[in-house]
Amino acid sequence: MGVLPLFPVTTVGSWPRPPELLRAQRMKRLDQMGEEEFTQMADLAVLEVLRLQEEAGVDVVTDGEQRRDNFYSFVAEKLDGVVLMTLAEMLNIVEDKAGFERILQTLDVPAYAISNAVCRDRIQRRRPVAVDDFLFLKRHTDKPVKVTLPGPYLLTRSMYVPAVTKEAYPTKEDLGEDVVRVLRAELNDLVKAGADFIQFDEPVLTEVVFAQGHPRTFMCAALAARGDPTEELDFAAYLLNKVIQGTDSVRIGLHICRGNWSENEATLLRGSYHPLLKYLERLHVRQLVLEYATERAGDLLVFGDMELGLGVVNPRSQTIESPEQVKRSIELALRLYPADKLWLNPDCGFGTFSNRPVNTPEVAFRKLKAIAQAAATYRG
Amino acid sequence: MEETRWTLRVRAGSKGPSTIYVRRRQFQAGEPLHFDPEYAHATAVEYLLAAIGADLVGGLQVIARRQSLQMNQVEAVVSGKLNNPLTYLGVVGEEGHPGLEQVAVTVYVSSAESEARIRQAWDEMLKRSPLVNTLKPTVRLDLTVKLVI
Ligand SMILES: [Zn+2]
Repeated sequence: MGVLPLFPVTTVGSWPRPPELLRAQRMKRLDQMGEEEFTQMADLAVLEVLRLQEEAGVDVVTDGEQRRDNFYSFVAEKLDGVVLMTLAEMLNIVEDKAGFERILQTLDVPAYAISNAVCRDRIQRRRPVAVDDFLFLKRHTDKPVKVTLPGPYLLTRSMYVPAVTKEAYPTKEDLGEDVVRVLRAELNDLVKAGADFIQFDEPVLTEVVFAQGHPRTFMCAALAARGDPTEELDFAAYLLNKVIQGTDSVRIGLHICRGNWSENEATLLRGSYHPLLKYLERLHVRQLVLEYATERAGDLLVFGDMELGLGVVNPRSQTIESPEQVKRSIELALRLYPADKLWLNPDCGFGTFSNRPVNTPEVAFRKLKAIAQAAATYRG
Repeated sequence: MEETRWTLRVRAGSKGPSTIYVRRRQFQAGEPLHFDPEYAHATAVEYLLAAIGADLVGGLQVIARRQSLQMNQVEAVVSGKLNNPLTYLGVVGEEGHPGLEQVAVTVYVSSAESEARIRQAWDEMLKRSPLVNTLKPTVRLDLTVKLVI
């Protein structure tokens, strides 16, 4: 990556997918649309997302995850041994039916609109998970590119549905080893291809610590029974470190949030990152990409000498934060962080895991622009 | 047209649920209603709600087939509210009645058709729905269709 300006501005990954692209995704799944036609549509959508980011003043761009149906289940079409199942197809086998029912009703979505990648055989990369998408974006921009990948804990936990998976992998730990192998291979390929920043998403970690005794909040985590939080966090840290071991040449980030599926703040998880602190400090990532625009995330913390991707706008709200508001967040962070360790981003992506984006492209654009304007006031 | 009636037989179980015999099929139903989420049988109230959901979802598909509308997915969420469930339990001093006061149904449709055509089919279905037309005079029905890809 070339020299970055002070407080590099980036996104957390997803951008609202246009309705026609969502429709095309569904048609492709039903074999009513060919791969090529879909790719053409998705290419156009990616280029539009790129244009908007560049126009808004984003320094490190993403492809808006336009080709993916959500931030993790797209792996089904990249990996052998993994199939995409909608929740409608899984209602019979999920363990916590009441939990799912609550989420569906809160989200106001049907079970068929939520897909999950489920492991039902030994897993293997059939094709690259993200390298092709990265290369496409790189061909169309001079800006450094951030690539997002689902984290190994998220993948292991969401793909392990005992009724379907047990025969291939007796335990989720067994599956975890193969998830690590697959992600390591992908990471190596991305590094070779010249990716500038690779961000793993592990939103379910907050559920492990905050949601004990509370209703389910992450669809992807609700498929298998919950384990003991300490063991789960140990497992998550072990998996991620194993994936990234030895890849020091590239910036690796980890995004953790408290859910991004509702505009109603009260329905989302609450609590500081503090219970995660000792696990996060153990990780060999260079940057943590965290929510701090929401007061639900509590006080700002320092995590060893890691960089902070500071969440400065709420991706779910309609109100556009002012550059002054963003600057106040920066000033607060500067009390704890040296300037060269701070990046700026929204709290999460602008899309979501169900087929309903949490925001419109217009609002997303204006929010990014506010961040870029704030950052610009610090640059010479 | 000759009068058509639909007849079925319901036999109370000695301890457990009732068995319903209908044409060549049979199924079971539990108590009129139950407050325990772990209760093992679908209750009579749940069957009524299920019937409403099935009426709307199935009815919509019939219309869709007739009009050659492609619908990939049709799914309903149905909820019902009793006027005062405590009166069912016979709690002394409770006002009201244990009847259904309101039923809310959201039907989700995934389709490449235009929203206008889906809504047209929906309205047509409501006009022809046996259960909607039975209940409309006595129960508040909040019925919604949503196009969700
Ligand atoms: Zn997030």
